[in-house]
Amino acid sequence: MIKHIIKLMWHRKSRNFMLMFEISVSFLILFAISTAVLDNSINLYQDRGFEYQNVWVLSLDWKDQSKREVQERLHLIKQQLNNYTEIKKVSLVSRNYPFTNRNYKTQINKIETNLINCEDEFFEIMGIQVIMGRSFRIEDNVKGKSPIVINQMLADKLFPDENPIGKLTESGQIIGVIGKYRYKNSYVPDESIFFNRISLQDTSVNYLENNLIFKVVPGTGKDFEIKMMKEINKLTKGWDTQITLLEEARRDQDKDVWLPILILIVVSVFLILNVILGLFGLLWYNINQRTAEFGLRRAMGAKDTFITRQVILEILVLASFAIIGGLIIAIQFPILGIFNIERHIYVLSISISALFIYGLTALCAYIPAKQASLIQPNAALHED
Amino acid sequence: MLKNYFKIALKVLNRNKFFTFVSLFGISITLMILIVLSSLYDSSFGAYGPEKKLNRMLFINQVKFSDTKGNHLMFGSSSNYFLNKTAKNLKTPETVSITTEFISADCYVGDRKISLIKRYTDVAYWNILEFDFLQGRPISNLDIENANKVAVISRKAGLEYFGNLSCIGQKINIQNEFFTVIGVVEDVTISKFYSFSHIYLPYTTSGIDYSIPALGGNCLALILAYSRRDFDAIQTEYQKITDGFQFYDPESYNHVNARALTYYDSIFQNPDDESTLIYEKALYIVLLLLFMAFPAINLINMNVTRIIERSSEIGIRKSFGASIRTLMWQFIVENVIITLLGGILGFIMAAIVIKTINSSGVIPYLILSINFILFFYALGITIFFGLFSGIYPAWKMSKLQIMHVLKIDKQ
Amino acid sequence: MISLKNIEKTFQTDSIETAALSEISLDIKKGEFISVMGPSGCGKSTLLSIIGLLDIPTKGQVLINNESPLDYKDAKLSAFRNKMLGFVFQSFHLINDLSVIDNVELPLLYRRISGSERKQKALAALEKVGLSNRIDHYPSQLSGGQKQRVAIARAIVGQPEIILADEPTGNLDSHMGNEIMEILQNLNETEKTTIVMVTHDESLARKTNRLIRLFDGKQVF
Repeated sequence: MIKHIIKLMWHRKSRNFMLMFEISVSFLILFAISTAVLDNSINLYQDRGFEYQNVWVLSLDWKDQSKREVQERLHLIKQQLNNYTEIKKVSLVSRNYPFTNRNYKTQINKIETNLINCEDEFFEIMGIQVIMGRSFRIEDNVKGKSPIVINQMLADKLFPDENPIGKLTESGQIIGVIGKYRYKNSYVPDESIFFNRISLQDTSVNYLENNLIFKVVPGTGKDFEIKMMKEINKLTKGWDTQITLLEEARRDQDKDVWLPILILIVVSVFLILNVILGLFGLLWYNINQRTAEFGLRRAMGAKDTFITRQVILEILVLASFAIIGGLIIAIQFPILGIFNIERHIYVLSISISALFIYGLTALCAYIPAKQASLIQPNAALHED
Repeated sequence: MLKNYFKIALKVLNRNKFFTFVSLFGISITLMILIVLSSLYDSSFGAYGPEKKLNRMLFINQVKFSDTKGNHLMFGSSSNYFLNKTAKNLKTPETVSITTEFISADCYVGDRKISLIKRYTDVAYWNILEFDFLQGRPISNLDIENANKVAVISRKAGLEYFGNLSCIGQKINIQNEFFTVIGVVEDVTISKFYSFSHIYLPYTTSGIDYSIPALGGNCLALILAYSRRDFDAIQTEYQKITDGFQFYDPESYNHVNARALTYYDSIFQNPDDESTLIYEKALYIVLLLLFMAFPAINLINMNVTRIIERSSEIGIRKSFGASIRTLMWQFIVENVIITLLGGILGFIMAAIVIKTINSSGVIPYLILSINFILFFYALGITIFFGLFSGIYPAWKMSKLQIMHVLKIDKQ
Repeated sequence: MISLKNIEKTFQTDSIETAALSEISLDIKKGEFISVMGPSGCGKSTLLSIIGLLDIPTKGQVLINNESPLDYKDAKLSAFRNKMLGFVFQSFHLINDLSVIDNVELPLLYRRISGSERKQKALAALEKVGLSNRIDHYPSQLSGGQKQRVAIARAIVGQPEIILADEPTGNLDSHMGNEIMEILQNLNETEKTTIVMVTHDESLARKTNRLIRLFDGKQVF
């Protein structure tokens, strides 16, 4: 039976070319969407490695003031912040704190990695768990030592199968290892990261970081922010200042990921609606033009359920031709490993998209198929 | 004559309600999406809002500083110092202005926090861009020379901070500094990269000492040429100037890649990249065509179906003397009527969607507009659709031979 | 083997009732070759469709081999039709998108037999009508007479006991018409297939065993 239908549809392929083209394109778009959704969702459920609730960042821009003046003022500001009962701990940190779009990359032992400059308090503020060794301490103020903390991913790349604690790299000595630290947004996997120790006490540095990150007591809200900024702005006269709540920054960063996918979904809904319209058009035409053929088949002894099955199968075979066409492109992705996405995600996306197309087409075909099966066999004899 | 076709067309459409509904649905939704997309495109790249002279403007946005040894790399917008020494020395264009990127300016007033955006500008900025002033005046040479603490604010800033727009002469507190409002302008959508802001300040009030050499910064240059034809000359001249730029610390940085580009390129292109983004643009056009192809294909198929269904009617009309032309025109008119109806519906739906997007704030500060230019785009597309999807089937119809369709053998 | 008792068939359109057939009673023995004649609109095709179980009479009974298949549910009726009956139409009704051999196979699709068996039977049927050299052609490549021969091959491929032919030579010229008639006669003589043929052509009708004339839905003698 299937072979018969394949032969039938193959002969009709040029007539149905446009519709098959539409189905192919829809399949590819569905493939893109499910890959994006699957890939991002998988990362979503992974451990973030830190906590962002109740963490605020004060960003400063001191224009052209001298380094000494800036450092003095930073001291005062950090002290002032620490004086508030609502603020628990404060640390200076580089511009790539969580949920900004900023990159700060360098190389360690020829391996590309992200670099984060921070003070001792940073790990406690962010709730980062150390799994081996320890994080920065005041004892590390001793000159000559350059302690660094790295994440597990970097440890595996630098010293696979060895204990990294105590090992020396071109950027410093590893004193601690943390787990994951997925700081860019909620959907990306972990990257190599190393933390470099800085301290406001250190007067020898050429370059000062301009972000103070701190943890506030839960329940601290806008009222405190407004009061605090009014007082801080007295200290930062002439500077540009901005307060960022990590919770809000997270929402904005994440939006950059899911908004385009949402737009793609809206567009694809439209395209699929068109496919459905096209399908209905084809089926309606079929039923009306092929009354003689259906009547004939019934006269030859086909049961009405056979006719229903035939019409649905015809559409499924049509969809199959279209999907095979689309697969030629889709299969390149897992084979070539484009975008560094896991193969099994691609395979899963292809399956989901194909199933969706089959389900959709079968559903559309059902009622017209039922209509066809109601055609009486003597329709073949009576021609109008 | 046309009226006759019109009447017959309406009767025909009324008879076959299912087909009419399906066609209308497909067309109106396609058009709705196309119009929303056009509005998005227009709000970013269209020459309205303050950026009316877009077709004779070039921009310097991202700049790459490096050293020949490859140890240092700085990529991003450049400093006022750099642009002053390079762009401001261009002789070919009419004017050159230096402005900054958007800068966050949280304003704390009373017990409220208002999140606004500010940018610093010079005087040339207000000559190149044509803002819609609701009150007051732009920044003047005197303001720049004296570093007057004055501000031009947008409608949104005025309403949120003062509650009304009659705020000329009043003071606005931006991070503990007080600026006197000298002008109020109409809001600009955030997609207008070079003109969007809530607060515009003289660059001499930024606190930066512009005589100190610096390479990287947050500044952009706007170049107004006398005409498009000068673009090549300006770009060549700028290349020459940057080639001769004196680095103050050649040990760290001694090489620069900076280009004066057209609007779209200046936002999306890498200064390294010699290509002209023509492949990306081509890709977008292909995708757009593909998108429009779907409903067009469906329309054509449906029309072919309609013709076959009415083939006996057509055959009979022909045998009674209706000429091919008459039949074809009748068919095309029917088609154009449907597409026009669908177009109007699509336009109305698009207007609703655009209003919703604006008020929902899903993309902050984005303002999409719906205007007559868009309406004419839409009309043009619809009529094109109507003709396009009608001509091929109409031509097929003209080929039908009388006896063939009168015969009972439909196979 | 075919028995019609008091068949009446009326068609309702709005408020008008048309009697297509009235008081038809007929007995056809196995192996008979019957022709049905009459002017246009006299009900010949209606009679054929009732015998062929394609249509249900308003009154009366149809017995085939002493079974009353019109009482069967659709599935059983379809199976019965598939096994017992073969049809030949005036306009051939071949499926243009299928090759000759696929067209002939059609009735066998609705039986539970393997692909190779189907092919075998189809080839055998095509041989009987003399078209073994055209099995992969498409209907558009055949002449009228060849198309009708394919239709006949399709009608006999399942080895039915009864063949119903509605003006089988109506669309063919006299030469081809005679060829077709020969094939039908052959079938009737060698396989003992019962054939009921509706026709306009007196000369063809004379070659059959029995002639039934209809006028305004009634049998006339």
